[in-house]
Amino acid sequence: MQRQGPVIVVILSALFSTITFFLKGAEDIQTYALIVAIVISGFALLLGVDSLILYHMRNIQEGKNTLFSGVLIISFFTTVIWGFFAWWRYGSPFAQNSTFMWLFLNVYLPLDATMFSILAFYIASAAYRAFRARNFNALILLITASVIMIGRVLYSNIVFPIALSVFLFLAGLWIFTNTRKLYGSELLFRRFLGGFLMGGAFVILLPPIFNFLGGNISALTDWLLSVPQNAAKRGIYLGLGFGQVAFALRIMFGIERSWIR
Amino acid sequence: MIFLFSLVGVDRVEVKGTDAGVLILVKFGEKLKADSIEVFKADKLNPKEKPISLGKIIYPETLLIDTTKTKGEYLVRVYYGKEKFDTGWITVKLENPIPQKASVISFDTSKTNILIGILLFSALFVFLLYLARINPRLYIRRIAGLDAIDEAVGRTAEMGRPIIYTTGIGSIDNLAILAGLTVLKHVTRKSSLYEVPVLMPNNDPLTLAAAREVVKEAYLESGRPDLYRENDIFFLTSEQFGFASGMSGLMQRLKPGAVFMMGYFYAESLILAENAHVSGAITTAGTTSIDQLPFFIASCDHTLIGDELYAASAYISRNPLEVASIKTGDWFKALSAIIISVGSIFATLSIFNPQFGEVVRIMVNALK
Repeated sequence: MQRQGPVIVVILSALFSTITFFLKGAEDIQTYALIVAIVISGFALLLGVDSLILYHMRNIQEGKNTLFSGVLIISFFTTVIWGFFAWWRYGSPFAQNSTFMWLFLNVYLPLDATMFSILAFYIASAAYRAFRARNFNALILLITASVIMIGRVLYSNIVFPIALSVFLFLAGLWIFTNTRKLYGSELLFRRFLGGFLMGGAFVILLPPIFNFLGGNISALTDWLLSVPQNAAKRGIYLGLGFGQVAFALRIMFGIERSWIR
Repeated sequence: MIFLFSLVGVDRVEVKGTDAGVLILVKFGEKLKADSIEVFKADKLNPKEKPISLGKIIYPETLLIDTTKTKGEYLVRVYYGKEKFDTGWITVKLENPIPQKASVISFDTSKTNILIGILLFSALFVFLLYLARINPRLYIRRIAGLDAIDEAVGRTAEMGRPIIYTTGIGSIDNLAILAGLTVLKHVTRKSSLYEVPVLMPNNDPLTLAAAREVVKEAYLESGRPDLYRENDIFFLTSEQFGFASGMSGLMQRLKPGAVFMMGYFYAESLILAENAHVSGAITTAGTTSIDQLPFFIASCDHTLIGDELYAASAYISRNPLEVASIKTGDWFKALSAIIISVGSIFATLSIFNPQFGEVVRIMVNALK
């Protein structure tokens, strides 16, 4: 029964939600069911607090990360006591003139914003790894991502030809200075000159390429986002939708029980 | 109950409930006069209903009455030049409200197509269940991310380090998190063979309770209940970036051999994945959040894309009943691909012959 009880509750709840979804005028019933779920999750928060305090108390007892766990325990109780004090003193901990609000605005929010802003650096490091042209797929990703990044900046129609010119020039230079077989000279100056000429030739070819692309990088960016990217996205959405229905049916029929003891 | 406001171009806006209905009284400013004032009404308890405009008050008019006496909140918007100013949503209590009629529960005909779809899906599922009983060897394509779990656990055992597992942010009502818990069971079973500890910081207390049960059950099934330590599955914080920060700290201090991120993630996904990479762990991720998938693909060693996460438990267990549900989803995907292709061809042909366009319109209306 310990195993079957929760499964029966899940099956009945799922059937209830499915049936009320197809009924008009059953919105109030759904709202009450939602309120019940919120009340239950409110009680579960106590479980979280219990786990948090026990975990860090045990860490302190065992001498593991004593400093971090100590800081957490002190911060936790300080915040709770401060919150209750502000409630008593100002009517609400989040009242505009409340000292708890000061704590929230000057300690919590900057810390939260700091973590969020670190994301910019992680994006750069992840992009560096992802954009290395190791194979043909990665090369396509690199080119597409570069076009979209340039297309999204201000004055992209001016920046794009300049960026493409510099890129093509450097590409030509790199090919000639690194590929001895192509030019065959050991003299760095001559190899550099060859690269310079090849890069220049690429740049001369640029206007027809740019015109071929429609002469408007923003339009190309929009097309990339709304056609190829959207097509892939919708494919994943379709798969997700059917996957969700299949998974929900497995739970409803009691086939999928690995989430329960 | 009376609400008073003062906005640019308006000296006073009064919203009050009376016997006649809700009155919106406006006194335009003496020097600066607003161009017009629009009143909106919405039922905030029913988010599907969009706000409706009750009308505009233009100087020298000063009054608007809503006599419907139905439930709802009011918003007064003042237009002054190119600017507009709102009062915010106001709940007004009526003096003598019309008693609400008991709502009649009936079938919502606008959802007939969804019902037909679900019934078809269920019928096909039952048929494939029957097939699976006859032939339990139904084919599912290889999922590299799940095959890599054994390799990651083995490597972690060799290194003598722990595994860190997370289901991300959200409660157990999220299907992706439930799917993450099914993979957790498999990972724990594998790790119990090599006595590798599995640490699981949680963002939600309900997920924490379920995860503890899953891990306990996995250790019991593999015959090693002694390895279960309640403290290994713990609550970190319910705050998004606090969670990201705590997870990053754990990874940097413990240097885990493998990090599994299976569930639902938001903006913290890349912080977790990059920290796991920096700590030298094998990173395996799986999420149904499409916005976070590119980040995982870019920074993790293995990624389960979209519905692969839902298929994970069936793929791991090879239970014919579970495999049948995956096959049903695949059949429906194939059906959708056929419908989309036919629709695209017909839409293209409609350039030459408008009758094809009519067929596309009928198809779209049938699926709407």
